[in-house]
Amino acid sequence: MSFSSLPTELVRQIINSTVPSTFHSTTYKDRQSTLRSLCLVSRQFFSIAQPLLRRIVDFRWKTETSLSPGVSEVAQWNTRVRQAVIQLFEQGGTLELMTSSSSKLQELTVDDHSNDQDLGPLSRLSGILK
Amino acid sequence: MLNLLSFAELRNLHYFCRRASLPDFQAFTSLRSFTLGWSNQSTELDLGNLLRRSNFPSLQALAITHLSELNLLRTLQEPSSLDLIEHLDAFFINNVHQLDVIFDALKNVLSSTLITAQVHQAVSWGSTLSQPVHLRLRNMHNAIASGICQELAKMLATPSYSSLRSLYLDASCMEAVTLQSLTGACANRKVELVYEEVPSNWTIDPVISPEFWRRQRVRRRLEENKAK
Repeated sequence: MSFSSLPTELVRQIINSTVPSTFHSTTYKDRQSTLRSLCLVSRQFFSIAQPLLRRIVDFRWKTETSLSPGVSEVAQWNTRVRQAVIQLFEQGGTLELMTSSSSKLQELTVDDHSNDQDLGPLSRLSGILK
Repeated sequence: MLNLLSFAELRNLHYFCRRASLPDFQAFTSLRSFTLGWSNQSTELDLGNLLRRSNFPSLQALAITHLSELNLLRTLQEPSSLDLIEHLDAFFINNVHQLDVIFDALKNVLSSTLITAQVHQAVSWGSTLSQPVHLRLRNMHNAIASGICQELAKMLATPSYSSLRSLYLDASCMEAVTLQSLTGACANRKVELVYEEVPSNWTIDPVISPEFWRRQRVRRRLEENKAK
């Protein structure tokens, strides 16, 4: 019996169990690397692994180099992102972008290096209809 | 309608700050867990306006990390903050030095408080630790190398420490042979051992671990089954 003949739900369970389901700084790179490799195995694997790849996103590498993620980039990822990690500096609208574009965001980690960045955009995620 | 469809409800917020003063936060009706880290030890901080039930009506777990002990005590003296903490399933703190003072401030919520400490710190607390509290040990690899875990094991083996409810350990140390005396002492004293993934980088890693939430789910299921 080949792997590809397994029911999709079973393959999904196997792939899910190979990577952590939440962010941790010690496992994030390996998680994403594993999922990227799995995406290349087959169409079936791609359809399962790619949403997981975009479920948890660490945007710090962008903000560390003062390159805030662009609107189009966040918009492209937004429907899948459940957990995001960002850094805030004096300049840049990272928080604004994340909160306005990530409609399914459930977990947010903010490492705030700024002195006066406005956290007002967080209210979009507050659970209060305005 | 489109706005409603794209409406996001944040469940977990982890905010680590280096500012001199706390920025304005909104009320979060859907938030299940909130981690607030504050690295500015020299500033006087007033969390009374933030930490109140009306701001976090759904909150189950709160973690306050790296706050100076003085700021932590000031927060625990705020009736509104204490009211919020009393309604939580779990309250996580670290950076505790005068344990007896903290215990006094937390006397009504000790059973839901988890204190993170280094092993040598826990040993130095001595008999003060004999309270119905949950303790999480950090930097376990260093502690194992230094042999101080044996001292803690001896301490926990004495009857006066039987009130300790649970001990949270780094899951990556689970196989360490030198921990056997510590785990053995816990087993004899019926102190629950919990292995979990611990923060490596406290500014971004979860302080409230996935293992904590898994245990919460199990506990809830058991309670529901009992109710049936």
